[in-house]
Amino acid sequence: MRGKMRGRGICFSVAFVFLAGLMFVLFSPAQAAEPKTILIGDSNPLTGGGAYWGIGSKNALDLAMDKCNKAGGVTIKGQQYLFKIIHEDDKYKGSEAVKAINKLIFTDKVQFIVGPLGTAAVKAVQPITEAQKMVMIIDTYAGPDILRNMNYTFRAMVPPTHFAPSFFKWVKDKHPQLKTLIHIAANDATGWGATNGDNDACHALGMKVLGSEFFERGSTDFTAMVTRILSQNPDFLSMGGSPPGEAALLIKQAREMGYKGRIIHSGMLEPSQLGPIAGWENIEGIIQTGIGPEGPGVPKAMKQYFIDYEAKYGNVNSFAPYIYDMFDILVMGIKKANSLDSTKVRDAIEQMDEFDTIWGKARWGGKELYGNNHQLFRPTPVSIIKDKKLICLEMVTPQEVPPPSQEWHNRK
Amino acid sequence: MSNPLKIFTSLGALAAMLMLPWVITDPRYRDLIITMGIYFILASGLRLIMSVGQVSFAQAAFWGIGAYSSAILVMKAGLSFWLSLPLSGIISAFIALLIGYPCLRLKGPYFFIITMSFGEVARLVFTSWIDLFGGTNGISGIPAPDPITISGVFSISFPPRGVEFYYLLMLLIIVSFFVMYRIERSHFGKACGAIREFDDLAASLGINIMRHSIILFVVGCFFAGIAGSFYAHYMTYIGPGYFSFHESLLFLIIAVIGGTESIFGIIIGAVLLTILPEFTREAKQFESIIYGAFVLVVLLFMPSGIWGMLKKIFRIKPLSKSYI
Amino acid sequence: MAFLEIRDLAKNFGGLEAINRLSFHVSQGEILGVIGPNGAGKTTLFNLISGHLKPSRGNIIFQGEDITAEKPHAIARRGIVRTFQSSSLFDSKTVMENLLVAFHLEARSGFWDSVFPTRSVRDVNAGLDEKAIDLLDFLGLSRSRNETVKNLPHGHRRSLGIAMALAASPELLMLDEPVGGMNPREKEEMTALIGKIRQQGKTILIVEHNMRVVMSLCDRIIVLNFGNKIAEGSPAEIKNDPEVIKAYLGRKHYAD
Ligand SMILES: Nc1ncnc2c1ncn2[C@@H]1O[C@H](COP(=O)(O)OP(=O)(O)OP(=O)(O)O)[C@@H](O)[C@H]1O
Ligand SMILES: [Mg+2]
Repeated sequence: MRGKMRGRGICFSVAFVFLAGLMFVLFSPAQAAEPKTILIGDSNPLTGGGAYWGIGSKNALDLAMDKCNKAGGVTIKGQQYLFKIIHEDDKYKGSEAVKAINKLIFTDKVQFIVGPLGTAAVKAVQPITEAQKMVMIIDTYAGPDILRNMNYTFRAMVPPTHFAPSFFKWVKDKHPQLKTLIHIAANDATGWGATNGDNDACHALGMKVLGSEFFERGSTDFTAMVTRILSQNPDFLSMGGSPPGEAALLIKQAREMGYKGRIIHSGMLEPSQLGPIAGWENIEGIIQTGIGPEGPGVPKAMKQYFIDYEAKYGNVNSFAPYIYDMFDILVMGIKKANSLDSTKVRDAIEQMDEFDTIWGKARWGGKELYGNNHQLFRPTPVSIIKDKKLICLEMVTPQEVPPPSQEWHNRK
Repeated sequence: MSNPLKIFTSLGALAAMLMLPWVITDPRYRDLIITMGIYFILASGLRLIMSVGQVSFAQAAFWGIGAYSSAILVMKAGLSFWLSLPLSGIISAFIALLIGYPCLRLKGPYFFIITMSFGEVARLVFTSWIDLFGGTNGISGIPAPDPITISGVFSISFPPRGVEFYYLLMLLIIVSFFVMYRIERSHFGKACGAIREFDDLAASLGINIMRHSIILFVVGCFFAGIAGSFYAHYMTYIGPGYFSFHESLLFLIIAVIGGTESIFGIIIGAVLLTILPEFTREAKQFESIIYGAFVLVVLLFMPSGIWGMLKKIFRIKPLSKSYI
Repeated sequence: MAFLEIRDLAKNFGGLEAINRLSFHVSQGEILGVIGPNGAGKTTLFNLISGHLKPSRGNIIFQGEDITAEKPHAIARRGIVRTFQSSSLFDSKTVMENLLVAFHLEARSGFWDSVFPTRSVRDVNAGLDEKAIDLLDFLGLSRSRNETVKNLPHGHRRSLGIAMALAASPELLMLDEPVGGMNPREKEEMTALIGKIRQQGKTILIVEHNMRVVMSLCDRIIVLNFGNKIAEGSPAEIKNDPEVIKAYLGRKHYAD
């Protein structure tokens, strides 16, 4: 009896599967053409030292991708495409970035690349991406040679060289009493880059750079440095290129030892990272270029972006807004090229006129400095820490040709 | 030496090496194989000094010294790569001599710690001497090796990440394997093993511990320098982050996991530790846990490494009884 | 000129005077015994002579040359070779491998010899195999030559230790308790072996607790106590020295 039942069960199943298969074969051709997938590779530090940036990048890119896919993706020559981003961890190291990019290009067969954000990582992978004619949109601060002679690399991050002149011009206009400064930065490539860019800008604006100080990453005692600073008593401390941890300790010690002047940071300092260490009262009034959801200067699109990001991830990542547009730029390029051919997309991106980003109007430029127009120019925020919050006051436009460079980090 | 089995195996290995690029055409895997080869040279250099029972934590620093030397010799002094390749090895070896002479008097953890400090000093020098080493920006645009031309007959050039690099590296591997293998099988090598096992007894038999240790250290660093030179021109970009103590640790793990007793252990270690991270890549944040667990399991259950275990299972005996 | 001369030798570990202003000599071809209670400083004396320890003061003169400051390997090269009290060997290696390493001074064992072994390097080193086998025959160890050393019985370990010392072709052989821990038969064999070695014209310095062995082998004996030499003379003289009896021989368990 039981055996019979089982036999009948098998019969039914086979029949069902057969019928289902038949239906599938019969009805599928009638459907519209399936959308195809465009693969984008993202190499960023998801673990280790740069993980905060890497995870912010990943989230921002996914957010942008979801929005685009929901709106139907792109249609190229009548064929609909949706996007898929493959994220790889480069551990903020050049050698790992090479492995990640190799996997993305040769195994996953991605068509475009965004990231990586470390200078070492970008320089390590460029020989591959350029040879493979792979459009790569990067977000690193590094020097001019990251774009020079590179045919497929675009930079969607505005480095201090370009925004420092506008930022400090704003400072000069709004606070004309700030005439002398001492620059403080970490003793590394980012620190030197910021020192040179900031000091060049201030110098060109007629401010007086009294000195440039450097500390090792991980330092905790800045007494000697602060003593030197106090003896010169500059109108403001320019702290671009100081990472948040060290900056917080330095601000605390400077204030405790009696420094009364203004503190200005040409980069971004999250109040929530700074306050608990530096003391909330000590960070009031710091002028910087970070962005948050609040303030009269925040563009409308940026406000919406912050709402969307928080809705999806439940937090705020101060690095993510810098990445968000990279995806849209790529999509605009693909649409404009009406092709997936990387050289055509490259040309299309190069030829993009002014376009909208969450920061406001943006365009490509940089020919004078880099030999090609692969550098993004978009507005930079000027923000102030007020009542423990980052308030964006205004957006300023970066300068395409920076003032003459003086190599301040080589001076004693 | 005239063992037919040995000749057969060597020829087989050589043929496999020559054919490999035809089998594995994917640039990603070729790059991984090249990475493997570089790791092999570095870890087998490290194994030399380990054969007298000393552990150096500066192998990555000497790799870096070779890499920077080569980049600077070619880009600033205008030398040909074919000259800078051996010179980089010699520079690394010379610095190893200067460091080794005072430091190899120290044993065990003391030597380990002092080499670790040296590695850190080297990294700081690369980072802070901007004019020469480019600071944290490193050196980019390192040119490919000059083409080898015998006019009218043939010409080999080195396109970026091309298969030519693979063959050049295989040549370097064969040279280093040859040297390491000969050392292992020789009286010199056996004396080194004796030092590791019981240094006082070795010394009382007339074995000069200092001399042996220095030679091993210098030769190991020579090969690290050579690997560095190759790496610099293969990558075309180097920065101080490439030669940190993480890398020294990796070479140590390769040597210990594979087994330091024989050069074949190093081959196993280099292959495994290059491939493993590619498999665990999908595991994302669990990657380091898997990696750590793997290392731990091998260390716990195979104290003489994977080669040591294979040797036990298959009862692999040395091919001939006397040393060269 | 004495073969080996110890002049005013002293070694202290912190406050402890392990060897206290010791002077004596060894003549060529003789067997000199060193006896004394546990902790008397006998092994320390060996370590000083072989260069494994540096003396606090005093000199060691070998064949007219001061070798006090030299490294162990250099002293071995001069022909002073010692065995270790604990019969320590290269435990993970076979008997043959141990012995081949011990031929280090005779082997062509330089770095370049190893990387590029010339005809002559190969010939010299191949010759060592035969020498090693001869030596194993001489010591009655040839049957265990492929045995891993850590599996050897105690007596064989001692013999191998001596074989290895002999492989380094010593002029002066220093044996630290060669029959320690052996059964009576092994003791007898070892005593006979040391006699044979002496007949080959080697000079021997021997530390031993076993009185029968010492008395039968040695030409002369010196007695140490707390780092001081308390007596020196022929076996007969030592046996009857009241100071020695009081410090050392009087104690029962050494009488055997
Ligand atoms: N490296 C050392 N550091 C400190 N003290 C030592 C050292 N070597 C030996 N001693 C001490 O020196 C003294 C002499 O030791 P030594 O080993 O020479 O005695 P010994 O005569 O060989 O004794 P035994 O008959 O037990 O072998 C002992 O008190 C010992 O504890
Ligand atoms: Mg003793």
